[in-house]
Amino acid sequence: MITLTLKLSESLLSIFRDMGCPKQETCRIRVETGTSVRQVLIDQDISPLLVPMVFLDNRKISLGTPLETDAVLTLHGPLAGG
Amino acid sequence: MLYGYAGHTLRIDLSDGNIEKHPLKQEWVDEFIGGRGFTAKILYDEIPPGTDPLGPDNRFVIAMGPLSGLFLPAAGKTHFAAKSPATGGYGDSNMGGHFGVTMKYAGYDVTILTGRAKEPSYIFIDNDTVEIRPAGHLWGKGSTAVEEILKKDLGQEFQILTIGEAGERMVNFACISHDFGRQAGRTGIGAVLGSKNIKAIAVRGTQDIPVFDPKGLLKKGKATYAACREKPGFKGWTPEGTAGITNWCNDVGALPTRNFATSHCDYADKINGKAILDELKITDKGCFSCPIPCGKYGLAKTKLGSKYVEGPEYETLALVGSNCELADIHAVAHVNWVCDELGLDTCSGGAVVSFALECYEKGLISQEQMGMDVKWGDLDSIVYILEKIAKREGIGDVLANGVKKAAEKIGNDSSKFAIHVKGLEWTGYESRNAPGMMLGYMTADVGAHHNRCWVLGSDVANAVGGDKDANVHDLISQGTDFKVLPKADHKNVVPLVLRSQHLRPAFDILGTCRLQYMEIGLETQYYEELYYHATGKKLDFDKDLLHLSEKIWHLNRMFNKREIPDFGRKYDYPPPRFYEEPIPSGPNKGHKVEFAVIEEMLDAYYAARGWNENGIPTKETLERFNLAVE
Repeated sequence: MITLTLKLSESLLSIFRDMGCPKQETCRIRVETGTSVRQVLIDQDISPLLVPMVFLDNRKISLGTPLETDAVLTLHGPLAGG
Repeated sequence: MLYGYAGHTLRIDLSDGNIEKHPLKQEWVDEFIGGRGFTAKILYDEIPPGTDPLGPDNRFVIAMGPLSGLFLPAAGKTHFAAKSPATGGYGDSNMGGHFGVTMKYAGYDVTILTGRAKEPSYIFIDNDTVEIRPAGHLWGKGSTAVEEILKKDLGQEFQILTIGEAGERMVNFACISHDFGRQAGRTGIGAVLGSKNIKAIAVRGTQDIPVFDPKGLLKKGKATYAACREKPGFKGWTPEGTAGITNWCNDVGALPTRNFATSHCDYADKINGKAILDELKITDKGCFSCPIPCGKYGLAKTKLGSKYVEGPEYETLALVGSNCELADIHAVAHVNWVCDELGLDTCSGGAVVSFALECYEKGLISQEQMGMDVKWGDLDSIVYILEKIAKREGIGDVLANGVKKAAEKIGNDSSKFAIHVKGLEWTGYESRNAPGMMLGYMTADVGAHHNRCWVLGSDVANAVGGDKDANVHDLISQGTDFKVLPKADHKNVVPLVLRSQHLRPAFDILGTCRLQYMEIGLETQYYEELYYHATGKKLDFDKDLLHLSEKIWHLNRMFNKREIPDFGRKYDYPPPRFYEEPIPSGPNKGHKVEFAVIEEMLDAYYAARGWNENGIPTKETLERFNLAVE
C-alpha cells in the first residue's frame, strides 16, 4: 500500500460544488501499489473526464500512470482559455 | 482623499484637441467601484443614443479598478469599452500587461476619447503632460513594429497600446495590442480607436497611488501571494497556460472544428499545450504582478518565415487551429503572429476565416471572388484571407464586417453556419451538448464571448454524472475512451449561469485577473481585505460586489435595448447550425440543442433575472437596482 495526498484545484472543486457534492481541497488516501491514476479518480467518485491535468508531485502525468510510491497527486479541473 | 484610485479622469476631444483633467467622479466610485463598472456607467450616460459606433460621437473608454496597479497578485487588468461596431451594442474587452497600471501611475483611473483626430495621430501621456501627436510615420505599420518604434523614440519605460492595419480600416473585429503580444481582442474596440484616427497611446507614469493603509496592504498583499503559492492549482497552471485544456475540450466534444460543423478532431495532440512546450516555447511571460504567468513566448517556424510570438492561447488553438483545420502548432502560431501584427482578434479572425472556407467549399464564394483556391488547413489560404480582411480588399471587405453581416451579404442560407450571437463570433467551446455554456453565450451582453460565463466543466459533469439516473460508474470507468457522451440536462443550468455571469465582472470591476480566484481558489475574503486596506471601505464580496455585477448586467441590457433597433429575445438565439444540425462525429455525435430547449432556458433565465418575456429588464427590476434608465 502507498499513501497519496490528493489535492484538488479550485476549478475542480467548483464543479463538485455546482453538482451539490462538495469535496475537500486536500485529503490523504491509501491505495494498492501500482494503482493507476484513473482508478484512483474512479474510487474517489471523480470522473476522469473532469480532470484535464494531473501532477505527481511536480511532474505532469497521464491518467494511465501507475502510482508506485507515496506522493502528492494534484488534480486540475478544466478552465476557460484566454 | 480618494484612496485606491489615482483620482482623475482624462478627457480628450480629438476633434478640437481639447484635453482636460478632472477629479474622478465620486458618483462613479460610490456606485460602480471601477473597471467594468465604470465603463458600463459611462457608456450609458455619455454616448448619445443612436451613435454610429465608428463615428466621432462614440466614446473609447479606458478604465482601471481600485486594486489595479497595487502590488497584489495579478492586479494589472485594464478595461476598454465603446459602443461595438460588431454588435451595435455595449462592447468591451480587457487585457493584462502593464498599460493600465501605468495609466494609473500617470494619474488616471479613467480616460475617455471622443471625436476624431484630423490626421493619423498617437496620444502621448507622461504624467501630467498629455499631447496629441502626428502618427503618419506609424500608419500602416504592424502592432509590434509600432511598439518597437515608440519605445525606441520615447524610452523603454513607456507602455504602448497600438492598433494594426485592421484597426485603421475599421475591421469589425480589430483588436488593440500591447506588450508585444497582449490583446484586448473582442467587440471591435480596435476599430473604434481606428475610427478616431488614433494609432497608438504611449504612457509613462511615475506617481504614487494613495492607499488607506499602506502597511496593512503590504502585509496583506504578501499574505495573498503566500496563500496563492500554497494552493493546489498554483504550480500546475503555469507550464502550459490556457493551452493545457486543448485535449480536454477535444475529449469532451467541445473543440470547435471545421467552422463548428463538429466538435472533435483527430489531431489535438499536434496543437495542444505540450506541442507549444515541445516546439515553440522560449519562456513564460506574465502580466503585472502575476504569480502564475500563463503567457508563452516562443518562436514559430514555417515556410512563411520565423516569427517571435506570444501564444497561442487556447482560444487561438481552437478557432485558428481546429476550427480552420490547421493541424500544425507552428502554423497556428504563425497565424497568431499575423493576427497580432494586423491587429485582428484571433477568436473572431479564426471564426471568420472558417466561415469563409465553408462558403467557398459550398460555392457561395467563387474562386474569382476569393482570388485564390483556398483550402481548409492550409496556412497560405488562412493568411491570405486574413490579409484581405485587414486591407478590406475584395471579399475581405465583406468578411471584415464579421460573419453576421457577411452572411447577410452572401445570402444562400449562409447565416445558418455564421456562428455568432448578436454579431460577435462564438469562441472556443462548441456547446450543443453543453446547455449552460450555450445559455451563457446566448445571453452575454457583448455577444458570444466565453469571458462572460464559463460553466463547461459543470455541463460535462452534468452529462456524465450529474443526473442520478445516469449510470455514472459505467461512464467514468471508460475514462476518455467512451463513444458518446449522454445528453446533458438543461433543467437546472440557470443558477450556474447567473453565478458565473456575476462572478466574472467582479474581478473586472476590481481590476484584477480572475484566474487567481477561478483556478487557484483564492478565497473572496482576500479581495475584501485588500479592498479595505486600499480604499478604507468595507466590501462584502457577495452582497456588494456580486450585486453590482448584477446591476451591470441590467444596465448593459438597457444599453443594448436603447442602441439596437428591435432588440430583444431574438438577439439571444444561437445560430441555426446548433439547433438544426446534430454533431456528426466525436464524443457528442448526434447531439444538438432543441429549439424548444432554447426557448425554455431563455424563459427560465429571464424570469430569474427579472426581465420580461422579450428579455428586457422590468421597471421593478431597474428600481430594485436603483437604475434610472429607460
